[in-house]
Amino acid sequence: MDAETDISLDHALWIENGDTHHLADLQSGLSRSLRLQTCSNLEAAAKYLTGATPTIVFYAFKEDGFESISSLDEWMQKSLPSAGLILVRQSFSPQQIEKLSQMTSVSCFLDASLGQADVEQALARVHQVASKNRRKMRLAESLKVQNKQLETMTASLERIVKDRTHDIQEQKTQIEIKVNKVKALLAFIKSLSKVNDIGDLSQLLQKEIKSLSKDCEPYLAFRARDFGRWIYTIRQSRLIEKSVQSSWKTGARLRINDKEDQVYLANEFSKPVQKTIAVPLNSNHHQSSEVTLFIEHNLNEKELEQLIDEVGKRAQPLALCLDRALLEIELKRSAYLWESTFNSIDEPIAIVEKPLKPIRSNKAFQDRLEDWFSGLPDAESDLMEQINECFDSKKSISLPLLIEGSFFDLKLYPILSSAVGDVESVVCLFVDMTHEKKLQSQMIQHEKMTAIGHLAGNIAHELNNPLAGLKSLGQIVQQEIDEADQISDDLNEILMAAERSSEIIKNLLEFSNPNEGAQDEIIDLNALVTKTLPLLKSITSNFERDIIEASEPLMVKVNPQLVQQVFFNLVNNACQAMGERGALKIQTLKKANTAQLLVADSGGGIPLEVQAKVFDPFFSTKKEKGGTGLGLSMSRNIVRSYGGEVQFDSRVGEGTTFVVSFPIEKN
Amino acid sequence: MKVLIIDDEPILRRALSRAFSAKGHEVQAAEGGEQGLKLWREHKPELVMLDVLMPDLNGPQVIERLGSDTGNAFVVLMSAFTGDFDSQRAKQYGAHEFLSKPFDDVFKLVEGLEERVN
Repeated sequence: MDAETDISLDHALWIENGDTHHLADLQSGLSRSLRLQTCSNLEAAAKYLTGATPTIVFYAFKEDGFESISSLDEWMQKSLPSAGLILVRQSFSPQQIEKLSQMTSVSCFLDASLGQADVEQALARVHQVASKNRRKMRLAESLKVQNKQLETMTASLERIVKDRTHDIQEQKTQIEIKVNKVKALLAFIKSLSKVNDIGDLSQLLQKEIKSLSKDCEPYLAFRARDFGRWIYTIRQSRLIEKSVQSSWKTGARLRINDKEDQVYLANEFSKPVQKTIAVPLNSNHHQSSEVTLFIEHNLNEKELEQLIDEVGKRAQPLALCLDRALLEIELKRSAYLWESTFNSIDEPIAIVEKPLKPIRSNKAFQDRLEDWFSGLPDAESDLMEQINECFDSKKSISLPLLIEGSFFDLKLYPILSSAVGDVESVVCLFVDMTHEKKLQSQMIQHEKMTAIGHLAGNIAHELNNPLAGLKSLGQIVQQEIDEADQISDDLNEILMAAERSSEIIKNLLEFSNPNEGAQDEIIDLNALVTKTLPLLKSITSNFERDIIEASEPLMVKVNPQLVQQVFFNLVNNACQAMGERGALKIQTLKKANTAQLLVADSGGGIPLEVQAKVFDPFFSTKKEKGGTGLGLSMSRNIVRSYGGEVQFDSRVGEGTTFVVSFPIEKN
Repeated sequence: MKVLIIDDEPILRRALSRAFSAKGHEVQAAEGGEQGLKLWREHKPELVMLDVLMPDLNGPQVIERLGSDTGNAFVVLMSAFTGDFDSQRAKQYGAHEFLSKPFDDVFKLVEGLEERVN
């Protein structure tokens, strides 16, 4: 027998369960080969188990003990799971055996009525059972140990997993942080791309720097190509734009906590400034130079390092955006300059594309010609033809135009975008010639008047010759004749006629060649009218004439020849208004402190819509007859220059009265 | 005195001639510059009434042509063109006096000239 079957080591437990006298022999027989502990019942057995672990349990089965068997089964499973249970009885019935076999822990049955040999057989069986149980127990032990090892391993594996999980979490967090930083940077760049105004840029910059570090204040300093040095910052949400004269420190490299920067900012903003870093944003930009981002901060070394890292990534986009913003300003200024230049030109200008569509025009055009232009007929217009010609021939063209009473010299200039390309648009420059035309007309009129004056002068002088003879000879003959003779009277008449002729010629000479250097004289208006009347005899011959002279002298200080011209002009107009016949009234009178000269006709009158234009320099209702209409305008100017006025009263169908008034000269 | 009248206007020539000869002066008359030149040289007048504007030579040209041949004649330039001439201008042309036509009173004129020449 090996160690396993060494039954002398086996512990066994005998539970009497009441009366077991019958089983005494068996019991003693067993105790010879087994260490057999006897207990009266389960409770006692339980107590015994605290000190030992039997491998076999003998239980004396009673006749009616099925209930106790189940509790025994329970107890066995609980307390001695690896022990064998042997039920002992004097004799078992097969039914009993069948029923009892259903119990889990029963290993075998021991019938007490067995003889010695059977007992030994039974014992051998018991040994088997016992060793089996021992094996079971040892297995259980090693299982326990293994379990424990397994537990330990599991625990350590769990720990490893936990650690690894933690590491991965850590990494994940790190990556998340990095990704967020990159996202923030991208968001910043994206926001920058939407900004093209320096104010907005500053606000964005402020927000960004604050998001990187709450205690920082950014200052964006730059020198703009066209408008000097500026520093932008935000204070209490308000944009500060500071123009500065002195320059900040420049350099290509980052400066950390340089005192000079700190002092500079403090001076410019008149406030204490903390430590400052200076980030030069240098690049090949056209609009800006010396661009530096100053950041006032209160960070420790580590935080500062982080900030600098993040700011560094933002430097380039920031500089680009600033440049773009400055370019925007420049463009706006250029556009404004072009616009205001274009609009400041008095001549209307329109730039047209085919087919005669204006794409740009200046204020002068919009105010004066836009309506006319848009109202032009589409086809068959001389103007359209010329413009098309300009498009095709690529040459500039000049043509005169009459637009709503004004004379223009239209100049067409083709815009050549390249030397060989087509002309896409044509500049139409409307040069207002009305003024020139007026001047021209005035000049022509002046020349005419001068020529007429010369002619009249010549004639007058020619006439003076025979007149001189007439007068002189007349005088001589008169002297030689007897005064009583009728011939003397006749001669007198002849002489007076000669005298009158002489006067007329003198007046005509004065009238047609007014001495421009003549001074104003104090003359009697009445006398001036009387002197001029003979000159008017022919043109007033058709009309009834009513001439009323004032009862007293009307002394006025004027240039007599000029006033004569005015009078002549008014009478001329009156006669022309009356045509074949009518009544002409000429009157001088004193009214308050003015000397008045009235010229009234019984002509057709001046219609209301024409009355407003009567004094316009070029207005004339006699255009067909070649009148240039200068008379009334010039007349009024002359009169006004002496402090007088020309007015008229006209009724259609009745006639017109013109009144010229002069202030009476008090000396 | 000897008077020479140079003027292209017939009635004026007649009038002046009558005026002077009525006062007993010897009068010659020329109807143009050329004739005037001739008569001036021939008769050497003491008083010359010279019209400025004549179809051939004008008054100043006559004076110029004569040069020293004007003798000691008192030369009066006459003109119907007012404003072109005055006494000063006349002197520039070599004349002594200027009269503008028409004359107010031919008798006063003659008297005045008589005094001037003598």
